[in-house]
Formats: sequence, structure tokens, C-alpha cells
Amino acid sequence: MTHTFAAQLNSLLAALILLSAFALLAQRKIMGLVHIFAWQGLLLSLSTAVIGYASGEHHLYISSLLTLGMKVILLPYILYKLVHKLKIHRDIEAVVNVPTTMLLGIILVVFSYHLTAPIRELSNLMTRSTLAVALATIMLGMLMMVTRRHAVTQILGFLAMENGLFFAATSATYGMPMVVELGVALDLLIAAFIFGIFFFHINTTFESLDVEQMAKLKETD
Amino acid sequence: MAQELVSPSTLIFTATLLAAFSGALLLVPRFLNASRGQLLATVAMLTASVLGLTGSVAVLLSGRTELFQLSWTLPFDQPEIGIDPLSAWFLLPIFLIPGCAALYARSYWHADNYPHNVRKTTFFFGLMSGFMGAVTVARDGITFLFAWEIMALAAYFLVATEDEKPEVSQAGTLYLITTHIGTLGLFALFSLLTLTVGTWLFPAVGSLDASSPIASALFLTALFGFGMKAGIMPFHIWLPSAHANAPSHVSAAMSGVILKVGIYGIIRTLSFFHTIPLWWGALVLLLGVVSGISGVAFAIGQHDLKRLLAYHSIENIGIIFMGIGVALIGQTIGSHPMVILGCAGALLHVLNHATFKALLFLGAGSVIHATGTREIDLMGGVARRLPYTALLFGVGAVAICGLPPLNGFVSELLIYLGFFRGIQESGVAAAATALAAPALAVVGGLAVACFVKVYGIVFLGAPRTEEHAAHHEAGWQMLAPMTVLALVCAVIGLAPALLGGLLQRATLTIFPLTAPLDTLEQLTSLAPLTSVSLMGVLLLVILGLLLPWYLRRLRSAPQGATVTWGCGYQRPVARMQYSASSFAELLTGLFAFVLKPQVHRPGVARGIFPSVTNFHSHVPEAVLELIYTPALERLYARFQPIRHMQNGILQQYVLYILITLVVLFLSDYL
Repeated sequence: MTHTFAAQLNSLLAALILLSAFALLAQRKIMGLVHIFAWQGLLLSLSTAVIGYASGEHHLYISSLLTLGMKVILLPYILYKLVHKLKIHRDIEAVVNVPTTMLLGIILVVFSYHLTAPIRELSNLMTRSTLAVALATIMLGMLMMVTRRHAVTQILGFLAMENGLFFAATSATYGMPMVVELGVALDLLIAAFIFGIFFFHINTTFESLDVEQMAKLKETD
Repeated sequence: MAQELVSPSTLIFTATLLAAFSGALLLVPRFLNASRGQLLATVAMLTASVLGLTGSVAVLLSGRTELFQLSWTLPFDQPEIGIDPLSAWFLLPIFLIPGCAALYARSYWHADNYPHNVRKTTFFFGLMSGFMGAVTVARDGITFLFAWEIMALAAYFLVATEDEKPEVSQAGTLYLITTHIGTLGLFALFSLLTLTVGTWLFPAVGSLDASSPIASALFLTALFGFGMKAGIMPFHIWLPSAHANAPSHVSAAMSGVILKVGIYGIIRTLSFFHTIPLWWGALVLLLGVVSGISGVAFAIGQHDLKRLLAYHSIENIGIIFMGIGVALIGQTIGSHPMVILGCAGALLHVLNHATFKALLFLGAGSVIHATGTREIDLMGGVARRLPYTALLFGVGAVAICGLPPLNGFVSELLIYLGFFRGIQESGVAAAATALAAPALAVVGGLAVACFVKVYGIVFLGAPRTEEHAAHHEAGWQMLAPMTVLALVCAVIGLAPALLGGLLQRATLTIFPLTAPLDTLEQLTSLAPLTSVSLMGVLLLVILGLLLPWYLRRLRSAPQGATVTWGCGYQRPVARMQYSASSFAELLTGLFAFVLKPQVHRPGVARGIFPSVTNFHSHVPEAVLELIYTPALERLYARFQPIRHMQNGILQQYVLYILITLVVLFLSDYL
């Protein structure tokens, strides 16, 4: 596998990651979202492995495996269990309708490419072109948090942002130091436990997982 | 000179630590039962007092200055602690008052009566006392702020001892807010100071030029930050409610000493400067006059015994400020007598106010303990049931009024003499001091009126209600500390010359000499301290001679039980006696433009069978209720549109983050 081929393969995977980020914005069903999230994790894991192979940074294989374990198997499994336990299969409401969200997403992607243009000029890594995608994934994750009302989608948006960050790290510098990645993985795991607990509490307190209910928590004058 | 066994500084540091952690064992649940733990803490506090007082007096006698470096690993300069006569002077009340108050608490706040809060109160009381000492020995900004914050927070927990009562928890919150605003001022002060001198260590005495703009900023932030803690008008808003709602021994320590730590901060900051501009002194003097007069005016209108005493603290802080103001003006115009008299007066009043105010608060605590209320208008006739408390409270009242032969007289005399020295000068200095002297006289006069009211209504007459008639004299653990404080008042009042040298040494650490000491006038020659003693003794002898005659007259007078101020009614009842409000009505009326008293007066009922009517008057905390609260409410209303941004909707918060992120990215291109 030559470098050019690896770079092209990586670009393809980046494109698919971007596609999955848009799919997250468009999907209305919670189970659908969980599946897309798992696919995004898989793509991320593959991309990390490819970069690891092509650059000779072998610690990226461990990152890749970690991603596979965490984001493709464990987190989707936890979310899947939660969705079943809390019985939330129905369609979920968005604050902004899907076409508008997609248009906003496109603007953010263009913006990301514009932002990373100077970095692409400077960098000589083969992954430099995918940095824009990574940034776009972060922004799209955030957009998802802004436009959705359900607590589970908030978390999925957050996890998608984390995927974007991870991808940015591999694209910009061939990954973070091992210690940092292990730490991040542990954090994610703990976050998963915490949001699991919170979901139950929010659900019992408000009898709903609509985060707009939480506005009731605000101190009134 | 004989080799000393333990150096005074070691004594002081040991005492500080011992006091700070005297209640630590109580925090371990089930390790020690509360009563025994309280006893242990009291013993530790008393030991700390004895050690600390010995150390402080030794430092004051020798007049030496010592510095120690602490080794720690925080990323600031090497911290330093030190002892000099100024610190030692402030350590006197810091060790004396909490020691007395701790013994008092053993009976007043006994573990058996307050099982659910005695542990925290005892612990925080020790912590507060110890870290007050730490504040005065700190010699760099960081150590100072650490000690200051621990002291201030410990005091919060003490104020909020009975936080299940809404008014107590409100008073605590008000205190917490104001103390943090004050600390904000101190952060500004020490940051500016560090910028100026390039290190966190305190600069040497008189090493900074006071004429630069940054020096003025330092002075103003110090005045704000420390003034907040000292309770100077108009930063006193926390003080009345905090003092009134804390347990009495805590009020005694707070009013007696914590306020003084604020004064210490101001004096320490002032000592860094030379060539002090005239307006500094004038401003301090003005604040002193305002605090003095308005403090006592507010006090006269109060019905709550402890609130009343709290307002007197504001008045006395005003008197101390007047002394500092005189000293600063003297420093500016180069008048050595003014510096010595003003500063010595202020420092002596620090010690005096600590002793007699603590005495009064402890006395008030005994009265409240016996009657079960803080309302002056419900008490009456306490002197018959609590004769010792009445006597000791009387000593405190005479002392706080500045009457001979007690200590309040001496310190006020020194400040008066400073004023008179100033009047002999020319220009602004003469004008300022000439205007301040009558103000101090007004303060003294009003204080007498106020304490005649308190003593007359609370201790004399007959009990107004059976429910709140005093039942029992306080125990020895409450009387002993009060006796000690009363004796200190008397000794300072009768033999002020004992303290002359110590005061002069403490003064000279703040305002260094401009000429050799021998060529300048000494405190003992500036103030007639010996005549004060002679006059005091003479007064006591005259009183002693008049006493048998008075007692004989009393015996020969017709005896009969009736109500005081019966006014010739056929069947007077106790409720007809003068009340606190009626006694003070004339004076509150005079000061109505500041006090804004609220009077509910429905009019006298007419007819043969008049219906029930009632009269109600109240002097609010005018500065808080008429200035700060409306100002804050207006600010709140003004910012209402911005508060819509914070609407509790999660998505919008994330949107704010997204927008901020995008704007930050974009700002790179602009």
C-alpha cells in the first residue's frame, strides 16, 4: 500500500465520516442515530488504522482498537440498552427542521474548509486534507446539540464532537500521545456511566427526556 | 541580660497554632463526647491566651522586630512571617478576648444545651481566633490573604451557628457577601502592591512614595477592603445583623477583635508610605467623624440589645479612625506630637474597645441568657436578679462612654490632645482637627445618653413582663471572664502610664522617626498620663467616701414596693415604665434625617371605652435599606434584558458556545 493510496483511502474514509455526521443531523429515530454513531466510530477506527499503517506510527493501532471497542461496541450498546429500558423508540422532535439544519451544516463545512486552508498550506502530513472534515464533524456535532431537544440526542451530539476531536488529532499530528488517548477513553467511559444515571433521573423527575423541560430548573425571579 | 528560655516569637506562633486547632478534635465524631471536647478546647484556648499574651508583652517590652521564612512550595515568593511591636500590640486583644470568650462559652453555649452545633461553633471559634493572629504575623501578600480568608470564612460559620433560623441565615449570607467584596478589594490591593514593588513580600516601613497615583489607588483599595471588615460607615451594613445574630461570645470576639484586624490592615498598609498627602489624613478623619456620629445615632434608636452594641462598634471604629487621621495629618505637616498622640490614641482605643466591648457583649449575653430575649423593651429590673452582671456591665458602659476613671477616657483623651495640637498648626490641618474635636465630643455625649438608656431600661426599674423577668445569675464561667475584662479596663484607666512606652514603640514601627528619639517629645511628656492616674484615684476615693453617706440615706428613706416612674398613678403597672423608644425619642427625632425611623402611630383612642390601640417604632438599617438595596434592585432591573439570555434552555447555551467558537475563529481573519 503506497502513501498515495493510503492518503486516498483516508480521504474516502473522511468523506464517509462527514456523510455520517450529516446523517446524524438528518435521522429522526433514536435507534437510527445510535446505529449511525456506531458506523461513524467504525469509520474512525478504520481511518486511524490506515494512518497508523501508512505513517509507521504503530501506537495508532492501539488507538484504533480502543476506538473500535469503545465507540463501535460499548457506547452504542449502552445507549441501545438505555433506549430499551426507557422505552423511547418514537420519533424525536427537532427545534429546527431537517432541511434548514442541513443547510446550516453545509455552511459550517464550508467555513471549516476555509478555516483550515492556511494549515493545509503549512502541513506536509498526508492527512492534512482531512483536518477540515474533522473540524466540520466537531461543528456538526455541536449543531446537533443545538437543534435537538431529546437528552439522548444531546449525548450523541456530544459523542460525535468527541469523534471529530479524535479525528482532528490523528489528522493534524498522527494522534495524541498514548497516555492522553487512554485518558480520553477512560473519560468517555465514565461520561457514559454518568449520562446513563442522569437519563434515569431526568426521566423520573420530568417524566420526559426533553431537555427543554429542564428550563424549569432555572431560578425564577 | 539573662538568656531567655523560649523566644517570644516562638510563644506567639505556638499560641496561634494552638488556638487555631483547639477545637479540631471535636470534628472527629464519637472520638470525644461534645462536653469533654469543649472543655479540652477551652483549656487549649486559655493556654494559648496565656502563652500569646506573654509573648506579645515580651515583644512590646523589648521592641524588637523579627522575621522568619517559611518553606513551602507554592509558586509565589518565599513567604515570611514576623513579629514587630505593631503586630504584638494587636495580638494583645487577639489573645485576650477569645480566651475570655472561650471560657464564657463553656457555660453560655454549653455542649449539653446545644448538642447539634457546639462542635462546629467550638472548632470555628478556635480557627477564627488562631488565624486572626496569623493575619497579624503575615509579612507577605499571599500568607496574609490565606490567613485573612480562613479567618473571614470561620467567622461566617460562627455567625451562621443557628442557621436554621431565617434571620440568622440571612445575616450570615449578608456577611459572606460583604466579606468577599472586601476581599476583592484586598486582591486588588496586593496585586497593585506586587506590581509596584515587584515581590509579594511587604515593603519596608516608609519605603514607598505616597504622592504617586498608584499609591493613592493602594490607599483607596486598602481603605475599601479593610474598611469593609472594620465596619466603617458606609461599609458597615453587614455588622449589625451579624453581631446581633451570632452567639454572644462570638459577637464579643467579632466586635472586639475581627474589626480590629481590619484596622490592623489599614495601619499596616499606611506604614509602607512616606510623604503622605494631606487628603489621606483628611479622608480618614472624615470617615471617622461620619462613622462615629452616625454609629452612635443609629445605636440610640435600637431596641435589640446586641444590635445596639453592634452600632456602638461602628462608633468606636470611627473614633479609632479619627486617631489615625490625626496621626496621618501630623505626618504630612511634620508634627511629631500629632503623630504620637493620634496613633497612640488609636492603638490604645483598639485595645480598649476590644476589652469593654467584649465585656458588654458578654454581659448582654448573660442578660439574654437570663431573660430569654434580645428586646430591650421586654426586659427591666435585671439588676436585682443579676447583681454581678449588672455591676460588670456598668463598668463596661462607663468605659465605652469615655468617662474616667476607666480606659475609654484615656484613649479618647489622647485623641483629643492630638486634635488640640492640630488646632495650633495652620491651614487645612488646623481646620480639619478643629472641626473633628467637637464631633468627638458629640459622639461621647451621645454614647452616654445611649448607655443611660440601656442601663436604665434593662437593669433598673421593674421587670416589664413576667415571662422575660431575669431568673438566675450567670455561672462563674461567665462571670470570671467578664471580671478579667473589667479589671483590664480599670487597670488601663487607672495606670495608663504602664502602657505609655509600649504604645510609643508600636507607634514608631508605623511612623518612623524623622529625628533622633531623644530630641523629640515622648508620649509620657505629651500626655498627662500620671495626672490621669491621680485623678482617677481621687475620683474613686471621693466615691468611696460618699458611699457610706449614700447607703445611710438609703436606709433612712421610706421603703415600699412600687414601679419606677409610677407617675402618681393609683395602680401603676410595670409596662408603664419608660421604654427604650420613649427614652430615645428626642434623639432619634434629632437624627431623623439619617435614621429614617419608621413609626406606626394609630392615634390616641377616644371615648369612654377606648378600643385597643398600639404603637410601634423601628429604626431600620438606613444605609442598607435606603441606599444599597434600592441601588442593587435598580441594577438588577437594568440588567433584566441580559438575564433573558440565561433562560435555562440547554440548546441555547450550546448555541452560545458555537457562536463564540465561530466568532473566535473569524476574529483571526479580521
